[in-house]
Amino acid sequence: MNGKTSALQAQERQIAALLFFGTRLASAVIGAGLAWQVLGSYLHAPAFKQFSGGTIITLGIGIFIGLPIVRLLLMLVMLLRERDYPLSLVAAIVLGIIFSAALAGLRMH
Amino acid sequence: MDTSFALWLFVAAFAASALGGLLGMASGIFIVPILTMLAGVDIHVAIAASIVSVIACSCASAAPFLESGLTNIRLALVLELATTLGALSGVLLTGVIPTSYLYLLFTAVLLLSAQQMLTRRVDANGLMAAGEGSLATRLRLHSSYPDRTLGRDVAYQVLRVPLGMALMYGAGLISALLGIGSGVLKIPAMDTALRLPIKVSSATSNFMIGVTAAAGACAYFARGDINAAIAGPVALGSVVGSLLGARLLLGLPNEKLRLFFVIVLVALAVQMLLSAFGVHRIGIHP
Repeated sequence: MNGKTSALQAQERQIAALLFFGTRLASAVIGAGLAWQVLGSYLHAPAFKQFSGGTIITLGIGIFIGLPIVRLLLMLVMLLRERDYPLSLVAAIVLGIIFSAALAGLRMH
Repeated sequence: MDTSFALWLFVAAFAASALGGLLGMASGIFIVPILTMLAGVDIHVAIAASIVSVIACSCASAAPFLESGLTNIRLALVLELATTLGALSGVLLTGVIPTSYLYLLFTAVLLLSAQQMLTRRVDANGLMAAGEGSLATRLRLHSSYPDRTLGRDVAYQVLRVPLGMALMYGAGLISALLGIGSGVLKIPAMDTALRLPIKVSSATSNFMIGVTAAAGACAYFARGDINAAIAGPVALGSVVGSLLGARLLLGLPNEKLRLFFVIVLVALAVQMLLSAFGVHRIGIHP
C-alpha cells in the first residue's frame, strides 16, 4: 500500500508538535540567556555575577541538540508500539551512533 | 560578552537564514564563511556554532512540512542510519584533517552549491517502478503526498535505497566536518538516486538534517568546542530568520535573488580558497 495510514498521520502530528514546542522552548531559553547577559553588562547587581547568562544560553543550545534525539526516541517508542521491529532496530542503531559520536567527542576533549 | 557583537551575529544569521530559506538552502553554508571571514572566528568554533544553527533551522521548519504531509518519516529514519554513520566518521576525522583542507573542502561545496542553484531540479518520480523484493518495499517506505494543484493524494515509490544511502553517508560526513546541512549531496541523493518527488525530497531532507547534525553537534558539545557566546545568537538568528524571514521576503523576484546568491556563493568560495592558502581575512572583527 502506498497511501498514508491514519496512524502514520497521527505520528507525524505528534512529531510536529514535539519539534514546534521544542524549537520555541530552546529559542526562548537562548533569548533569556542573551537578555540576562545584556542586562548584566548594564546593571551591576550581584545576581548577574552569581549566575551567568552563558549558562542559560548553553542550556538552550543543549535543548536544540537534544531535540532531534528526543524525536528519535519518540519514533522508537511509536515503532515498538506498532511492533515494527525492523524499523525499531534502525531507530535504535541511529541512537547508538549518536551516542558513539558523543563518546568520541568526550575522548577528544 | 560584547552586546554589539552578539547583535551583529544575530542579524547576520537572520539574514543568511531568511535569504537561504527563500531559495531552499540551509543557512549553514553561509554561517561558517561569515563567522570566519567577517567576524574572524576560528574555523572549528565557526563549524561548531553553525551545526547548532543547522539543527535549529531543521527543527523549526520541520513542523510545517510534517503537518502538510510531505515528509516521509520512515524513509528519513532509514537514511539517517547512513547520515549519522557519515557524521560519526566526520567527527573522527576533525582532529586529523588540517585546517587548510577544511577551507578547500568548503570551497568545493560552495562552488557545487552555486552550480546546483543554476540547475533546475527535475521531477523523475514515476519513471521507474520498485521491485516487490526491494528494500523500500520490504520496509514499507513507499508513500503518498497531498498535491494541492491536483487536489488529491499522489502515490510515489522509493527506488535504489542502497545508492541513496551511499550518497547520504557522504552527506553526513561533510555535515559533521563543515557544520552544514549538506544539501549539496542530499539533493542529488533524493532526486536522482531515490527518485522522490521534489516536494517530498525537500521536506524529508530537511527533516533528516536535525538528526544528522545532532550526531556532529553532540561530539562538538562533549569536546567543549561550542562557544555559547557565538552559537547562541547565531542559533536564535537562524530560527527567527527561517520562521519570519522567508515570509517577509516572498515579494522579491526569485530569479534575480537566485543570481545574486550564485554571485555570493562564488565570492565566498574565492575567499575560502584564499584562506586555505593563508591569505589574510577581510572584514569586521569583534
